[in-house]
Amino acid sequence: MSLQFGPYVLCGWKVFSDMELPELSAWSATVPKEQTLRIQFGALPDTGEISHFAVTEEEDVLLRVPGVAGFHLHAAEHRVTIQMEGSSDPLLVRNFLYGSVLAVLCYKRGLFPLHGASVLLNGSAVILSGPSGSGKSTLATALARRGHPLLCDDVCAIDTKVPGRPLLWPAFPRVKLLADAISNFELGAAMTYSRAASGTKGHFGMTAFSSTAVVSCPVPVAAVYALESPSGDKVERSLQKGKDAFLLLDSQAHRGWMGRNLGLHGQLFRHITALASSVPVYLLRRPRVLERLDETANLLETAHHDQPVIAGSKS
Amino acid sequence: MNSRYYVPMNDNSVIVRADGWLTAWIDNDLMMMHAESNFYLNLSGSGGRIWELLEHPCTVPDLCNALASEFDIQPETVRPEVLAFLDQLFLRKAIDVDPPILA
Repeated sequence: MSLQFGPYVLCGWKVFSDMELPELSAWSATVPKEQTLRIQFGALPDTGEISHFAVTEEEDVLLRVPGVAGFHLHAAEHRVTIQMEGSSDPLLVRNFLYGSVLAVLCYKRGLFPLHGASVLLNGSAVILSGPSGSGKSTLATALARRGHPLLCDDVCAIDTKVPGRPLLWPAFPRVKLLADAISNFELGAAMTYSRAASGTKGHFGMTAFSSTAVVSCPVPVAAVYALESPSGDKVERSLQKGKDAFLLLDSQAHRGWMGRNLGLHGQLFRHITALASSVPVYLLRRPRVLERLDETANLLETAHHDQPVIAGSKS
Repeated sequence: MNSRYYVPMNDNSVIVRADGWLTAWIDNDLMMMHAESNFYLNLSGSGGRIWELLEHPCTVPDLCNALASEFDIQPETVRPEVLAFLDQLFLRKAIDVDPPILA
């Protein structure tokens, strides 16, 4: 006998899962579309060679994370099979589920997975994009602690079907943080930690922001901020035009190489050009010290005509 | 100014867009990607305008006359730049010449 969890909501999909997914919000009847996704435990097909990423003849996708789990994304069904490896750390497995697996699901379902975190400012999604370690989650946390709803972290699922009006489908209000940011925000007690020892590369924590409203419906994208790293001493944004905007977004397509391996070059090009031609793309420079995080949060609130919702909760 | 042809064509050759290119304007840049090779091109300034003019197959004199009229300059003034630009497009397989002429 096994337990089933859900339904949860993830990017507008109704999710039923064999694995508890505490970061996801409960399904609500107000979510406008109803595509289902089933996440189940099971064995992965034996494909002979062990590969980190493979596409089968049936166009199923196999992802393997050595020491953690294997994931089988079924092309013909709305289903993901997870094969845990030995003493898999459930948080680590969920981390890959919410990252690489979600990105592939986006590609397969016609959404653009942009590497970034997003918060709701003045009714629209402001996306903080950039390479790993550039401070996306930390800045998103600072804004969430001011009361702005967190929409996603790591994968921003963007729908570009409506010309001139890209929409972001919220994933879930949780962030993944490293030790220094956890300490800065004094979030220690609220975090769920990975099993890796503190101070090692695999050590991180995840927390959900239940204090802010959960947004499950799609929201228009207001802007994309590419976090520059290394950054300067001033807090400033500069608008990127034309090919510069295109190249910034192209470089941050989440697991873009997987999308291309799925033969979706054209789809990626259309997503990126649709996004870059309809929302401003900025390069965001700021000092990389946690003590000055407020200045960057202030700039974003001012630029998007919003202000802190929760008094006294500035980062 | 150099106005000789590098691409194997002459003033009577008809230039056509090659198949398989996806294009989109972002601000004043025309982004292009070849659907099979995943090769990107970016045409800025009058380059994007030349691509637009190539929507209908035309000759080099046609292109030069159209651009000269739009920018209020003499056709012979734009010719060297047009030829150099077509050379770049041809090298990257973005245009074909009909009929091809052996160099």
